[in-house]
Amino acid sequence: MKNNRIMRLLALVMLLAFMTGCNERRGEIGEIAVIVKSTTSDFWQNVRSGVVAAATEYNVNVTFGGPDSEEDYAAQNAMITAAVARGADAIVISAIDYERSADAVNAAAAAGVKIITIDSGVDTDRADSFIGTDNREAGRLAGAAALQAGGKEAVIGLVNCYPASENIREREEALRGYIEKNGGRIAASVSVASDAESAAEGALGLLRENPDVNVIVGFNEWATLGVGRAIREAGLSDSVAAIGFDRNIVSVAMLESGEMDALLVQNPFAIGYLGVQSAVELLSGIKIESKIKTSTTVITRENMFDNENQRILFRLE
Amino acid sequence: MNENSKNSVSRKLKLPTLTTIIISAAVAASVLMTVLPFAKVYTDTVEKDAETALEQSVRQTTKAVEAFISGMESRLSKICGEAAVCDELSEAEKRLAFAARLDDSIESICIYDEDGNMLVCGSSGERELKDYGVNLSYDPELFSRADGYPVSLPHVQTLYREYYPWVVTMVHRESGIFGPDSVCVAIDFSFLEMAEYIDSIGIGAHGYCYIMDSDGNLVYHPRQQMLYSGIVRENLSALTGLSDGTHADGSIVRTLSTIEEIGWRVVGVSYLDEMNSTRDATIAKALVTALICCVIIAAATGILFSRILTKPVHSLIDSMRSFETHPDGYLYSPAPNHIAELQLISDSFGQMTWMIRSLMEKNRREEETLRKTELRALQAQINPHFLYNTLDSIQWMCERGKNESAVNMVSALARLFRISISRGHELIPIRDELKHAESYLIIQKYRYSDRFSYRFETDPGLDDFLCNKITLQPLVENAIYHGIEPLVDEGEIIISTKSDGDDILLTVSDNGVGMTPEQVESLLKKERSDSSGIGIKNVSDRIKIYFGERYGITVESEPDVGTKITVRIPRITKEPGNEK
Repeated sequence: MKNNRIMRLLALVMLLAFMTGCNERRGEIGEIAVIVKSTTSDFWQNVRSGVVAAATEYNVNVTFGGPDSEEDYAAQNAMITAAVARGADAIVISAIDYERSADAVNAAAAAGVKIITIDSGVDTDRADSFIGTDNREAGRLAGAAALQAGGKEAVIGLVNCYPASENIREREEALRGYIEKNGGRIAASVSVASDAESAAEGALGLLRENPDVNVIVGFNEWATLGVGRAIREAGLSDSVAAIGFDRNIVSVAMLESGEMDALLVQNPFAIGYLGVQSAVELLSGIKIESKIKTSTTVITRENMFDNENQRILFRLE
Repeated sequence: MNENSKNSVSRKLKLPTLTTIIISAAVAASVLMTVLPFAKVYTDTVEKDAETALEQSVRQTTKAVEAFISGMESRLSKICGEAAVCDELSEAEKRLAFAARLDDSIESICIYDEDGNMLVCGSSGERELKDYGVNLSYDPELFSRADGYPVSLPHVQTLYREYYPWVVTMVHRESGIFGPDSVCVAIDFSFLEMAEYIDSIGIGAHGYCYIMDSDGNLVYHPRQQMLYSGIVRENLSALTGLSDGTHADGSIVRTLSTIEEIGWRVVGVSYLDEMNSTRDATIAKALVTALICCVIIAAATGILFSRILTKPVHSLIDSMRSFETHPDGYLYSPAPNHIAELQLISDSFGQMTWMIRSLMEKNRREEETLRKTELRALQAQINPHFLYNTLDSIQWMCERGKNESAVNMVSALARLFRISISRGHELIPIRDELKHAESYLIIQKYRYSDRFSYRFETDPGLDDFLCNKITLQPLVENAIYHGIEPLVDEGEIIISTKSDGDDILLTVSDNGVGMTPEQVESLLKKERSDSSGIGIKNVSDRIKIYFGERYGITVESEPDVGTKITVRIPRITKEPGNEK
């Protein structure tokens, strides 16, 4: 008799477990929250295009957002917390601060949200994958472009935005390593705020204090704009070569007009696309790679309108 | 039931388990047989649906692109007509700019001479024409075909400073504008709308559309920014050989459709493996569901079976076991059950136990009767030889005038017989048995002419307890024949009774020649061979039959010292019932 009761209970439990199991499986992927450093720059707009492309292709619900400033890690952390509170299934994050973004990300992971990092990593082991530019490779390419523009005697100035970001730090380190090994000299470096004006001021100051600088490198979109603007204002487009990152319409125009000499263009579309794709695969139970490095292309005036580079350099908007 | 068979039973499957397994297997098999054909049909349907969806998407996209192109064409021809009425370049520029601003999809309208020099250009915005760089909107190859309405591949427009929209250029040759020479009117149409349309097409769980031209050049791909970095690959040149229609390539299904006027081809891509995995998951879900249900049903049925079937069977088995261990006192009380067959078995078992018990009872009674008959026959054996000898002795005494001795002898013989007969009772008081032995001794003493003496050392308190009749006499007889007779000196026989706990010990000892251990053994084992009187073994057997194995005779003997035979019997005053 007792045995029978146990059996009945067992049957009931199995039935319930089975029904809930069905419900769970029937549920589609909920929200994938993509949280980036800011939404204004061309770079992040392009990430957004990739995110939207993947969302369309995989039929998933994706939100895209970021703070107004690329330095406002507190606002970004608040967005992470809000996404967790909304019940997001996965967060695709480009962390503003390698260290100060870690707590919010860890808390999200602890709440069961899957974490994919893109573009800039964060100090956590809870992330399932990193997708972004091989920043060391990008740094080396920038170094090579600087040496090509300035020759063996290149005297190089660096303009840097928010070096607490992992990607910027890696680019600079790789560039310094490359220069050390291959000749040239780094005369000065300046840290600026994440907007074109302050970057331009910083670059101008650097050029004034170091008149022997003949190559100047900007490490992200803002710094590059600042560098270009400084060269234009100082009228140095013939004597100082400018190397920059990313592809703001202004910097591309400067490349065409000769004020910039090389742009290292990352693949933000791929970063955004692969970020969402990885999140979808992870949530679908497919094993994903722990690190996907996206390519960096060196664009010069000569190759900027090549068929392939047109597609890399100019976003449909 | 012994250990072995118990083990073999516990190793075998129990009925509920067996039922559960059989039902599970049967249901699982039928589920599989149902689900698998269903899965096949389902698979085909899903694949067909997916193909249909793909073809529909591609057809729609083709139509949309065709509409774009024909829209462009009609606008270009209209603008050509409008431009034709202008005489002045400045006038034309205004009109072109006006036309461009009217239409959101037009970035610029430019007029080139046959050498490719831009004559005039109207822009949709207040934009400053660049004086450096290349003009990607002018493609000599395209312009050479300008008699029709050729369309360029999408490209970046490079006419203006800091403005790089994606456009397709459509060009048409027109004569009679600005003089006698023919000119080419080129419109840069924004490609954005078409790109967004193509971007928005999702096919199935993971599919998309893109456009290539007939030579395998990419026109537009929603993921074109990733095409060259090795993350996404499309083998365009391999597709140029394919005709329009649906082509499966491993897990990838592609549908191609050509836009006739401009030779572009819309390619729809759908991934079968994802459909497969979705399908497999659905089928697995159905299977798991069915199997779980099957197990639950089987378990429930098993429980039900064990209730209605195995419970009575088990109770029957228990009954059988207890019958096996205690067949004597077993009384079968059948448990109620509702299955005719089991009721039949149960009834038969009840019948069987009853029969077996009555057979056993019968058997036991028969055996007992047989034994008692045998014993009576043995008791009867005592008489003839001894009687003859005694009568011979009495005759001899009478002849010699020993009347007194003859009288004693005759009275002793009479007593002997009275006790022997003793109304058929097997058990008699010890007092009578002692008298019986004494009578025998008296007779024998006469016959052996006082060659031995005898003595009783009895406990009078034990006289009223019972013992088997003719127990002592054979022992005395044995003492005389085998102990005293071969002895040269005068012998002595001592008969004693004493109690030993709950038992009584009757002893007959002599100081005769004694026996070797071998002789003792044969004495206890063999029937008497001289066929007169009752043997020691018979005495012992009788005692054991009546009282049990722990009672009986023990012999202690030593050659040249004597023999002591002890009889152990229980202390009883009533003849036990027939059962014992």
